Amino acid sequence: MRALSFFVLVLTALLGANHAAAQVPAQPSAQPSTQPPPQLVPPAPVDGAPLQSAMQAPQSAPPQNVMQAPQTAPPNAPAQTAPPQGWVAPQAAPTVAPERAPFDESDGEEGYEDVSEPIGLAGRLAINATLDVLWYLDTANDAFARSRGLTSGGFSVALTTIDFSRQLLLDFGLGWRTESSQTVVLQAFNALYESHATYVDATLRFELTPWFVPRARVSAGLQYLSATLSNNSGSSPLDGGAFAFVSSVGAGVELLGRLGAGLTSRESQTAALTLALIVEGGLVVGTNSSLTLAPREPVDDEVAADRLPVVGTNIGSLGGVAPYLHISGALRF
Amino acid sequence: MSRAWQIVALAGVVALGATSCAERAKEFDTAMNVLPPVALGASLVYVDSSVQTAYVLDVTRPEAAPREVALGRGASFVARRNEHDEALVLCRGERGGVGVDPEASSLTVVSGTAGAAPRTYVLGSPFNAIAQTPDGARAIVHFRTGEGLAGLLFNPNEIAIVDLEAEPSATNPVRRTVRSFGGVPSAVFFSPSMALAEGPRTLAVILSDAYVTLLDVDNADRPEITVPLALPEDPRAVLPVQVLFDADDPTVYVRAVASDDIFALRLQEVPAAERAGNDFRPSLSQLAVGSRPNDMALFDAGDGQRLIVPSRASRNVSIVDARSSSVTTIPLDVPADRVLVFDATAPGDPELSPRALLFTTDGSASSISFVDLVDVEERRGRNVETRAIGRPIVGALPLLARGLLVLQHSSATGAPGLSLLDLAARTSAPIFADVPLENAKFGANETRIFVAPSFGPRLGFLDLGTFVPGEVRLDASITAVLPLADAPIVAVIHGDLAGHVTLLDASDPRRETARSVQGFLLSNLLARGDE
Repeated sequence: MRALSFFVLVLTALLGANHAAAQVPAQPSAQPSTQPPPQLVPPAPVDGAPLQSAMQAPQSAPPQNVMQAPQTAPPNAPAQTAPPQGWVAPQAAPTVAPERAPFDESDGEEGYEDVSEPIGLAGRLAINATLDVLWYLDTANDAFARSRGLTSGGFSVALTTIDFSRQLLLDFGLGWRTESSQTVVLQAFNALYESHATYVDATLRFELTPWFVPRARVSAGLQYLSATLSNNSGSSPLDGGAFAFVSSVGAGVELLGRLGAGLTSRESQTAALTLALIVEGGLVVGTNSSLTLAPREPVDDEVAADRLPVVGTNIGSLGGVAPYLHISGALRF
Repeated sequence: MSRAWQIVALAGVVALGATSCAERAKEFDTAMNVLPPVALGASLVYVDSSVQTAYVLDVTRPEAAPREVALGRGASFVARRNEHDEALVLCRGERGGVGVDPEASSLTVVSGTAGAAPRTYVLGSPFNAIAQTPDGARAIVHFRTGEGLAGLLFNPNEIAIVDLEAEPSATNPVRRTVRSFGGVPSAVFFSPSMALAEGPRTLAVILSDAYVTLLDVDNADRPEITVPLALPEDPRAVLPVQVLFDADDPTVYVRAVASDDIFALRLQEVPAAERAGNDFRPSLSQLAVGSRPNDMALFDAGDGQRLIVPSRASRNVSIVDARSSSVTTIPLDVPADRVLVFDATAPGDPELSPRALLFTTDGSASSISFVDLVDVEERRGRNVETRAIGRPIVGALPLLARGLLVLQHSSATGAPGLSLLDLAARTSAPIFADVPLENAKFGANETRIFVAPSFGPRLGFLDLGTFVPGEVRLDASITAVLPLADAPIVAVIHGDLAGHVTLLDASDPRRETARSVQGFLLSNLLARGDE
């Protein structure tokens, strides 16, 4: 547990330091940028349009063209870079994602800059390493742990599928989570508990700022849990398992950062690898899992076939209701 | 670090800290304390005092969850109620402590029949022993020396008389204190129905150091009668150990260690005009039977009961007529410390008549003595026949319904471990065995005897009709064998703390028809934290 705490603190500190460093260039939106002008990607040659003219077009653009949004562009127009003079835009630029609205400074969101490119797939796919702490309300779970809380880990992937507006996104994901605990129960038995859950989830994310994203998530899935009770009397361990339907609802925040780049640059958010720390709290609701334990089947087939038929016992049900704290680190592409 | 990051870090630390600190229910840290199981008609009763629960396992439906019956705290003893499909569980209660309320001791009657509600008799004091009448109608709960006596103040001569046929009430059980000369009860014996002046009744004989106490169980409000077995100045520790009853000529016979006499308490009628309480008065007589009597038994001599008493030290057997106080001493060829009275024919005597077998189980003798009890006082030594068994005897298990006695011999390689003695033919059949008889049990109808080794997974059995032995290999080491009276099943108890029983067909014990039940003492384990 100490290692876990240390890991979370280190992760938090790293992201916090990164965020603090990135705040420096994000402040002076009205000041001239010291960064070099952005490199425009040369468009593909179009019939009658000399390539050279296209390459020369940025030279006539003001150096602050990114920070100074095109005055002629309507506030809610699709995010496209204004074509330089003498340049003929391609007729059909391929887009993958719904187009985003350019940033409107009238929103009053400090440090939020215009994105004139469609985000495409970039920034929409997230891979999460999750850490959940669940406080099961049912005392039955105490049989397998010395403390009321259980820590689980897992992985999940999520894809931003629906973009309701410029800031409101809906992700759908698929995840796997496992938890285990082991303790001594009744001063005689080693009690081992393991569970594996596969789930789908839907996450509504609201990009309040480029680095601070409140979110709400619901999930549903299937869990298989197993229990083993063994002692040193020489008898076979008692094993059993059960399936349970699990669901959860929770809310939290997602803190975004890009290693080695400014946090407030939307392009940096969307066009490259982004690291996210997600902290979320909520409630897991699962069906009760009735556990019937029976002696473990011998490994040797011959011994197993020779064994007397045996009747196991039902040790009761594990409750599935638990408040949880979800912490995950995510890589967004 | 921004405020948001600080909040996140703080939340993480708090969450992880909370995970570490929340403690689980203490019930999961309580060690199990399971008493040896008892067999009822068709069920087994296990008692786990740590969770105040009796688990009733129906052996005819092993797949069903065991029935759980709530008990009081401190269950310390469980026994089958005589002649009933019920178990008696003695709970010593709880003295109380920080966070633990005190609880009075109790006696709970657990039925082997599903649906029958348990009955709990509140006893009050933390008794540690129980005795019951042969018909199971009444029980006396008492203190016994040397078994966890505790309490700031307790009276070791307090007893509780429980009418098990009646529901618990303010007058059931009856608590009282028996008169004491400084001793503590060591055992309680119940008489059969004795022919007394006011009608047949059951008496309780409470044994204490150097005295016995007679108590009218059917009239618990009447005063007890205390009979010293030695004079106050007698330095001997005359400790009564064995009691026999003559129900027709109401007499109580008491044998005591450190005494060369048998104590006969003839219960004489008290004239109605003189009765202040009891309708009987014991008349004590001491019957000299030689040196240090080792055992005693009653037999019907036609004109009344006689007592037969072997004495190993004097190598003789005494026949006692309590009414006349006459003692007939018969010398034996081999010493004997055990006597078994039975009705059987004998070689050359087709008459079914009372006979006695005298033997010793201390391993010092390999011969036994048969005594024909008809006219023994006249014929004396002519009624004695000595037979050689071949090996020293260290144990005996009578099976009088079949006219058999199973003798156990000291273990030796290449020698028979058991002998089956035909009491009528007076012949013995050697059986090679390497298991002691302590764990031997007869199956239903006494057609087989089952013996469990002290280690190993093989259960031995012997067909008492054909003398053909057999064994069944099981999956775990055996600790006890419990035949069931109302089901053709033999329950083999294994030493698994979670509960492990193998059920065998008593009429045809084979591995192919055996099945096991395991883990039933952990039934509803996960619900223990809710309590």
